Amino acid sequence: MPEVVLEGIKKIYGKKVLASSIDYLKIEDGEFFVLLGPSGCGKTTTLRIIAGLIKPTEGRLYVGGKDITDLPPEKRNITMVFQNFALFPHLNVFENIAYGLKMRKLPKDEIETRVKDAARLMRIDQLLDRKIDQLSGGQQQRVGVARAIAPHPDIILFDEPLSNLDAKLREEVRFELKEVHKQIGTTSVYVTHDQAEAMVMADRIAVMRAGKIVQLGKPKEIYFRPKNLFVAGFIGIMSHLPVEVLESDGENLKVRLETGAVINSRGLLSAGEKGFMIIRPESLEVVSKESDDENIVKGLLVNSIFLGNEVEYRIKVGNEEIRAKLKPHEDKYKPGEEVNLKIMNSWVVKD
Amino acid sequence: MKRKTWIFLMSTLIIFGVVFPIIVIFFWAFSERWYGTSLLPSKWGLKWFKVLLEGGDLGKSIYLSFTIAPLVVLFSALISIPAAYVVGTKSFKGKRLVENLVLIPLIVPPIASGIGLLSMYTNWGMIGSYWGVVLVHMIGGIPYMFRSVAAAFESIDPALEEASRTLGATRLQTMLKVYVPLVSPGVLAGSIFTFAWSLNEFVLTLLVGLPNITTLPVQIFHYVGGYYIAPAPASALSVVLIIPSILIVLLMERFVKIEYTAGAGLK
Ligand SMILES: Nc1ncnc2c1ncn2[C@@H]1O[C@H](COP(=O)(O)OP(=O)(O)OP(=O)(O)O)[C@@H](O)[C@H]1O
Ligand SMILES: [Mg+2]
Repeated sequence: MPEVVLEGIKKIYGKKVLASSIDYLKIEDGEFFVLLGPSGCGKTTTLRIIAGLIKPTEGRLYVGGKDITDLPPEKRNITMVFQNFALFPHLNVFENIAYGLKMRKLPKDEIETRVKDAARLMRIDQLLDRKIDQLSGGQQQRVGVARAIAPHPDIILFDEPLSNLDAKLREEVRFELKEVHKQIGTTSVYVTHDQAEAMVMADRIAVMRAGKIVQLGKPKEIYFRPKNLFVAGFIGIMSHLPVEVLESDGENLKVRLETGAVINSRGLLSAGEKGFMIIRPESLEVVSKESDDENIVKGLLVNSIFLGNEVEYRIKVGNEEIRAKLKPHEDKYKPGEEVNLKIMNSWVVKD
Repeated sequence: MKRKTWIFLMSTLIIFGVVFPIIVIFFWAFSERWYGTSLLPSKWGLKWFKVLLEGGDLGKSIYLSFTIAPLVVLFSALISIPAAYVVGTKSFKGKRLVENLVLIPLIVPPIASGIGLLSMYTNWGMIGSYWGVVLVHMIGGIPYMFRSVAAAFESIDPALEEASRTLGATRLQTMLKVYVPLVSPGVLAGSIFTFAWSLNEFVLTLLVGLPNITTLPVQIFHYVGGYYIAPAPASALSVVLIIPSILIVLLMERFVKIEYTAGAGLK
């Protein structure tokens, strides 16, 4: 079965630009795998190594147990969807989707069936006679996806396929792609720097930084148990406070803030270690002054921002500013007021 | 001044500088008698064409001009297309240098390079040879061909090659299925420019082609640049030269996207 294994893969540009460096990565058969990271972290490089468009400086690449490191792209049965669509401008929609099928020398009626199936799946079956420049961006990328799925590849690679679409369309196509993946079940590697996209689509996410995978896991794991501040900051909004671990029992920690407050948290540190407590804005609650609950910190409300369906508070705790999100009916405090914050959920990392 | 005024000025200049002379040439060519005092020829006819044909001058010039030009196009294309592919699709050290180098023949006055070539050709014994003239025309033709084709290659999204390869096409298949169809308008534009260049080339042809290789422009010059001026036969020859040029302009209007023709000029 076509699972993908990257083993000691390195791509070095010139003498010292380490564009991609992956010790070991296994992408399971049928998985929707997302490579997530900031610009320049090596997502595209890694993807193009899998496609065979770039030769790795070192390392081996296996698909279904077969070493394909030295195969040219056309022999790999791995297709790709591009950020700028990369449709052939001299061919119409049908011919674009049929391109990979013709290269595989399939009989004419088989080509026709497969093109129509792929087009129906991407809901562009009405557009088969159109020229490429007569399509909207969203339609063009649907053609791009249809063209990549029609040859029934072992793996489909996506390089930020939605980043040239406007925000609303992006969300729509995101779900569509997820649906299509459910139907065809082809192993997919999807590159994006949009964490929301990664969350929605991924079975697993690899967060990359400077060519390396920093953390690998299910979306929830990455969100709730980030490995460090970089991952936490890249996935969603967060605030962090410096802490010292007082007690550690399994993953349960007792930590002390710089303000002296002692909080029950979670994390993988041991007693005596210093670190940072990561707090998501939705895991904070503003409670009344009289509350004698646990996990309370005092802070000064600096600013409150009305966002429509919620209100964001900027609260100063010690020297740090943290962000909290409240429902509009909870918005009873004025900037300048002292507030009590209940930390319902937090996670401590070392750096 | 209003924008329209500029357009008017430009059009006027073109009409006076090009259209009127062409009309005058047609009058001369098809006149059998034309006195300087009257506005129009008093007798029309094909006399001058007959004279030229019988003298053998016309046939020979047409043969030379219209066989040299396609050869120049062919050889310029053979050399320029691979070079344009590299310059248009790859990035490498010294790329700008190559791009500028190719433009030199368009900038150096032909009379200057022609004098140098004359002495080189003399040494090599290539003066007055047919292939010598083809070669000289290629020097000027290649920049036109190269610029058009390189511009066409540059306008191709490099991701298309990658898309093609990942869809199962080999390098060669990608060439044939993606590059050839997308570059051919650029090649057509380059061919037209190169053809026109070769057809019109005068100075270099005169210097290295004499006495045998009397292409149309050189032959025309014989009638007006010698000891006596014979405008009528010169005009008849000019007509032969002008008609394909007009056809070329019409052809371009019809088939070639403006981007590619822009690529042929200086950027
Ligand atoms: N051809 C090249 N020559 C030299 N360096 C390169 C080349 N291609 C990429 N790099 C470098 O390799 C690193 C990784 O690039 P890559 O394109 O993989 O990043 P990315 O994660 O896809 O970024 P983005 O989100 O901006 O697309 C970058 O630092 C980039 O500058
Ligand atoms: Mg990229």
